Amino acid sequence: MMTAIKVSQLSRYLAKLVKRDGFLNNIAVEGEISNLSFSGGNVFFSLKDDTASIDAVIFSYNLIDQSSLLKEGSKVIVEGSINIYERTGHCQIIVRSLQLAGRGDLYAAYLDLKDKLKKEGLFDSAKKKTLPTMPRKIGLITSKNGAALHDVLNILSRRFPYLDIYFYPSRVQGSSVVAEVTEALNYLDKLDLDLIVLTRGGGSFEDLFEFNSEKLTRLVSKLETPLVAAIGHEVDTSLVELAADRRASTPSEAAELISPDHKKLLSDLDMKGNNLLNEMEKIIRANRNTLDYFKNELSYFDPSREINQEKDRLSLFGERLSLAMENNISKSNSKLENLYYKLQKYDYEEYLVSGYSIVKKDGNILNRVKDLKINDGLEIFMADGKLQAKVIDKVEYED
Amino acid sequence: MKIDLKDYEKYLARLDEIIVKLNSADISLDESISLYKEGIEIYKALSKLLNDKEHSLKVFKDGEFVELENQDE
Repeated sequence: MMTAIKVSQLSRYLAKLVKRDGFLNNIAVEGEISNLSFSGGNVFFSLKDDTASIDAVIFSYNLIDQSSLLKEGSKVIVEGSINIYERTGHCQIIVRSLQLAGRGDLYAAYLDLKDKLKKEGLFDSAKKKTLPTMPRKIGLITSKNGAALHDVLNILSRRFPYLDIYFYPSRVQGSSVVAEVTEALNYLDKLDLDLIVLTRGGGSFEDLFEFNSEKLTRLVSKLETPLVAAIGHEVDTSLVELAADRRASTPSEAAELISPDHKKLLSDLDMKGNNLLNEMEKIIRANRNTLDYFKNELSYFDPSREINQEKDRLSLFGERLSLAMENNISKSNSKLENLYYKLQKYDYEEYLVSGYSIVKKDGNILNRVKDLKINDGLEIFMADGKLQAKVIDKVEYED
Repeated sequence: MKIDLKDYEKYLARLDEIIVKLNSADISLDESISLYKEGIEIYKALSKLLNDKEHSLKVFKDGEFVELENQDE
């Protein structure tokens, strides 16, 4: 009889054997997911086909890219290693990555095309157009039924309510995508818009595959209008997105990317308005200070005191002058009067001495015979006295 | 003064330029007053632009864009 070994020894032996096997350590297995369960960050399921089933485990579920594929009934290809659990002798696949089954051909075609278009320069960052910071008119291409439309409109009206949005509904899944999106892009590109957003929500590689179309990618790279593309959440970015001027991971992110937040714009503007006021206030204050300084400086040279003194002196002079003038005038007046009397007296006497007489009637000097009548009383003044006389006759000379 | 939304950035930059100039030491009072007037005018026009919300949604239907919603707030 053969020497018996313990179960644990067998289990350990099998585990080592499997571990050393290169084929079993790096294996890809295609099958359908069933009995899916999540526990403590790990994922457990069975991979089965028509006739067989093998258990599989994903440690650190978060590290798996294609977590959306983890659905009951998903046909997947898992890559990983075979492991024997020593305590139970249980065989399972430790999964490192998984992808959708049947994707292989499509994926290879995608990679080839990506490579080709990249070499042609379709994805060159130098070719990408800059998005306007303050767009006014934008085009939007998405499905009229999807959540993407709602998300984008919601965010745009909240963040930047100044847009004219030209919404061109288009299918974003299925065989007509290329034709419909091409038509939409061609139409919108002629409208002189500030930018175009092409978006849809997340989906599988197959869902989004139309956005890897060569025709569509070439069209996108030739658009006159800047294009923002947000197509699904795929890790492998679609070729349309690579050719677009900007890419966003979700419709919401695309909406945020193209729209400045008007609340922030308002607060920034108000800040600038305040800065403007502050600067001007500073200038006015500085000028006022300069003015005060000069006013102080100038007060030392203020001539008003001297002017007032001069004014006083001048008015004193004026008074003295007018006093002097008054004196002068009254002196001159009395002199003049004296002279007058003297002159009068001198003339009068001179005439009398020369033999002339002065005839007066009632105190008035007479020089015409016609002013006298016969028997009028007269006074005749002579050099040494006067005569009382009476008219006894008169002869008037003819003219 | 009326500013188009497209020129917002341009006028905002001019506003910045005015603030910097006002802050510089070698500026006459006359010059600063005319800059200030210009700055206030720009500020008012930009502020009006931001406060006058105006957006519309047009949808492509049967070969042309049709107005869906027009809100002037």
